[in-house]
Amino acid sequence: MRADEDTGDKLPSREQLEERLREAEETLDAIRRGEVDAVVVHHPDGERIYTLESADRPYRVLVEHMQEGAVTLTSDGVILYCNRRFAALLGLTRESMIGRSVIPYLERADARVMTELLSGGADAGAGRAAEVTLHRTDGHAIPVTLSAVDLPFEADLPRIICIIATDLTHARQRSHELAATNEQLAAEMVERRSAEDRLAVALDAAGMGSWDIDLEQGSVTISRQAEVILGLAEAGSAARTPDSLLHPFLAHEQAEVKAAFDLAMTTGVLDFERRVRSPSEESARRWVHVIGRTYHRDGLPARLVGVVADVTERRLMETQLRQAQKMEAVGQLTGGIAHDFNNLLMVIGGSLDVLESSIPGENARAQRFFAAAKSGVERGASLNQQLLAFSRRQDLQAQPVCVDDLLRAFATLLSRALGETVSLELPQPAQRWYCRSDPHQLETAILNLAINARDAMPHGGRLTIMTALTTLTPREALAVDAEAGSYVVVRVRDSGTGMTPETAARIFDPFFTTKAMGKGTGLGLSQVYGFVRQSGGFVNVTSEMGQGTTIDLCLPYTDEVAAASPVTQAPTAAGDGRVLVVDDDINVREVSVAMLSALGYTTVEAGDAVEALGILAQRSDIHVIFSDVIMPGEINGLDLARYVRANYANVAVVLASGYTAQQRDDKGTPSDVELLRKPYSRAALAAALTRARAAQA
Amino acid sequence: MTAVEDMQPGDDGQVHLRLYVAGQTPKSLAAIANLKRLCEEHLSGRYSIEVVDLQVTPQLAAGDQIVAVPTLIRRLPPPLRRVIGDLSNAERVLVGLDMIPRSSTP
Repeated sequence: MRADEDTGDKLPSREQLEERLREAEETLDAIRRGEVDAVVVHHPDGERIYTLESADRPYRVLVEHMQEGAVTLTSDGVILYCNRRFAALLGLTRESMIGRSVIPYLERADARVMTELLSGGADAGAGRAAEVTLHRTDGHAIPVTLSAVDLPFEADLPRIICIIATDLTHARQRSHELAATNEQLAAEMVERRSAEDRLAVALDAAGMGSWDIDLEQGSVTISRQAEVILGLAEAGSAARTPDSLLHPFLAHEQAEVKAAFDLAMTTGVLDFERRVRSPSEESARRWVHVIGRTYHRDGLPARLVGVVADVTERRLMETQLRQAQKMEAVGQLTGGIAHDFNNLLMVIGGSLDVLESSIPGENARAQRFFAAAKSGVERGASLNQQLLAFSRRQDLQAQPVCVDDLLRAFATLLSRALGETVSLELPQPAQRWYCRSDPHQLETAILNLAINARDAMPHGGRLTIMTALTTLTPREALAVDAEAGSYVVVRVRDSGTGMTPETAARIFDPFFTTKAMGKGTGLGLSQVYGFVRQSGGFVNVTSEMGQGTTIDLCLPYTDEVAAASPVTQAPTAAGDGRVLVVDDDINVREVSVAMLSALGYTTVEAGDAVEALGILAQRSDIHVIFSDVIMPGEINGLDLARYVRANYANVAVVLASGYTAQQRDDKGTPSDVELLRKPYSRAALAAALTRARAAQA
Repeated sequence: MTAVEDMQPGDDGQVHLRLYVAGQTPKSLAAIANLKRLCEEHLSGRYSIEVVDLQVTPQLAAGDQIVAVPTLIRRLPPPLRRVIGDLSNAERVLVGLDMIPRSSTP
């Protein structure tokens, strides 16, 4: 047994020797057959393995086919061997490189790096690496990583260094691509940021702030502008929770605001206007409009995004607009009533005028009732005048008026109206401004305000009337529904009880009064309002309970200076001549005919303008046409007047109207046409006829 | 001629083999591949192979008195058996490892 071999001096058995012989023979056979390609040589200092010819082929194949360059160098850089890949990196053949120095194939600056790599330094034997740039024959630079290791050989042989060169071109290219991608990404971010900036600027211009609630994270992003609008302190993005957005809203409305937000999760839209507390003034409340939209992810609400705007101004303007629209509607109604009422008064008054002469002088009782009836007509007419003033349909004789001159001229009358307990102060203005207005109506307006102020100061006080000049920007003008430009302000301030905001909102409504039944008509301030509006101005009211009331009448400023126009009062004179009476209301026409007859005129009647023109064309004995302004049909009184003035030079024209202002505004009345305001007295009619005929002559 | 029944397995029935190679010489590579195939065919699940690379550890050649590479040694079961060469002749390998009887004429 072979196992006994080492057991001592015992000689091997025959079987053992045969076995060894057989093994030796088999070994020789194997070598002979070429089944062995390495042999072990037992050396005194250890075993050495010698491979036979071409035994290293697998290594060669590996080295020749790998994608890294491989090169074997002497310690001074002479190339002993290199693989095909290394030659290909340099664009050379291997044959041309063996035996040459590797240094010239390197970038000049890398020669030192290579020298260090070859010398190995203190760590000879250990792996070393460096990055260098190779020079290709076609001029290209190839970045490579070199990893070097000393080939372990016997000490008496020269040092051999093996180097693997890895081409970094692709890696570099990839990192360049990566850098380019990064750059593009950065550019896109810049673009996006600038888009966000533009959006922010647009929102800012629109007076809006933006907010964004992340429902999944429970976080809130809110723009600075939105913080300002909501009155939130600047807090950065971290501190905000969705609930913190509720805090600015009024305490008793917060639950409803929260409900609106909750509802938005299901409906997808958010749109409400609520009040927030103003951070600056405790009492001031601002209106904000919140609009938003819910964005879903996987069917669940994920984000709620929107804008917020301060709409206090807009709501104020809307309120003013609604007020203006209400006043307009009431004015329309009032004007319509006043017009018909005028015709009734005309019929009654005219009939009374005609009947007056037939009342026996000795019947005192009849005279008394007659006088009462006439007084009733006059009071009705004056009431009607105020209604017309409110409905802006009175006949304004606008001219340049210096308010201060006017005030000083009727200060005595004002003082008397105010009574002894109220003192009147008229501070001297800086300048004498002129406004375009009807002086008589302005007087009435100021008197109405003074009487109102007096009633607000039952225990006495002070009334101050002063003038100033103010200029409105287009935006300010829009808020008061007026034209931009300069206005003369007539400020009437009392030291009275003041008004609640509810009362202040209604003081111009016709028949609205806080006075005891029978003490006021409720039309005084309506006249003020209607008159100022019709003059192209506006009225401002500021009042606080216990602090008195200030009413500003703002009338359009003019740089024209008044030409004093004396009002001529023609005496009632008996008339003669033929008058063509045109009126569609048969009652009014009959009264007019009766009055004209009483004045000594002969009359011809027509029911409308067309009929009147027919009569004019047939007869040449008509001296005056007396026509109503408003008549059914295509031709109204003004058209008729213009036509007659243009075609019948010797026919005078007198027009009568319940309200005329609007029609006059359209095209204007011919200057030589007399205008008579209904209801008119016989005397007024006589004067108008006389003036018209005088102008004609 | 199947002779698996003639085999003398170790105590645990396992066959322990050691193959001496010299790096990646073609015969070494061929020996590893041939041995693996033979064992799978004849000793499936009952063998273990230990490959000794004498390029890495030449001193191990002394223990088993290796003179030529590749050489396969049967460590277990005893007695020790050796087969020289690239193991391309399966029958000779099986004979060498006592897995089939030696024929009268080699």
